[in-house]
Amino acid sequence: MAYELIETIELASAASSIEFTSIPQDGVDLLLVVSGRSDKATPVSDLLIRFNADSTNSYDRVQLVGSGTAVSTFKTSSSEPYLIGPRLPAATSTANTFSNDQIYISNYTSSSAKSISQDKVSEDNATTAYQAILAQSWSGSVGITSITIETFGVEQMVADTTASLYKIS
Amino acid sequence: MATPTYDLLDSTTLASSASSVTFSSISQDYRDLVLVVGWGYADFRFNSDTGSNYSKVVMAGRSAGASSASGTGTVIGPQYASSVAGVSILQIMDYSATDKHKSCLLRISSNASVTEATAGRWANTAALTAIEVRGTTFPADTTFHLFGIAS
Repeated sequence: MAYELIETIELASAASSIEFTSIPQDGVDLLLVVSGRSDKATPVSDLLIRFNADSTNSYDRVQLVGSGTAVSTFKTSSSEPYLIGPRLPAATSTANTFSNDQIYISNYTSSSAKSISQDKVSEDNATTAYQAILAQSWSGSVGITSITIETFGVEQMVADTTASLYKIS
Repeated sequence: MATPTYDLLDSTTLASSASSVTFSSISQDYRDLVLVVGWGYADFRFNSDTGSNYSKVVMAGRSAGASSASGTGTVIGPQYASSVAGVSILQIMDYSATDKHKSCLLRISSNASVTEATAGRWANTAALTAIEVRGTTFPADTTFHLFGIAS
């Protein structure tokens, strides 16, 4: 066994968060795959991710973004209280379009800072396109036992949003 | 539950720092390979081929902005990353084929400093049987995992 599905969560109704708890500590790496859509009218928005409910300034990232017409980069100048997660199509996006986000978490049980490689796309078969690759990190010095995916504000993830967590061992 | 298609072929965790790790006698029973290195910088060399037979095109994001480059060299590796903590993921397609050059995708994530995506090609039709991971001094506890992806 190498890639083992820990759990898939599919929203039956709109919700503002998804949480994986009691993550087994007998793996090496984790892979989180998210397909989502927002109920927010506009604009599109990112989700945030936290490990072990840690909301302190302990997350950093650098990202490369392509929009279909331009390329841009961003690097955090100081640590933030969350990891950047999937970018969700807005409610006004083409019907039935969802994001696709893959987050690879290396050595998630270690007592050192965790390194994260992330690829994400959000495309609505119309005028909005977004793709990004990110290098992120969490300075937590304990194993990851829970992962929370949340919206930033009052918006919610729509029904049929899915999140799957795999353990790699 | 679907049948698992990622099989762990080999795994190494360094007990002390090392300048290279080699996977040899790689099984030819899979379609693709995925090699995950728990460090934000790594070069890759196939079948001990030290010739200038590796070409690549890379795009990267860093504080200096977006960058892209292409070229040919003696390894497939990062363009802008430095040797810091992070994760490197290399996927090699059709690695056992004997009628095509080997294409690969490399994602380098150096902790909050550089994110890179590289498309690479090894100009050799031989089946890939060995991979040397090199290019820096990997610290103790660095992990190396080689997966085979079933057809």
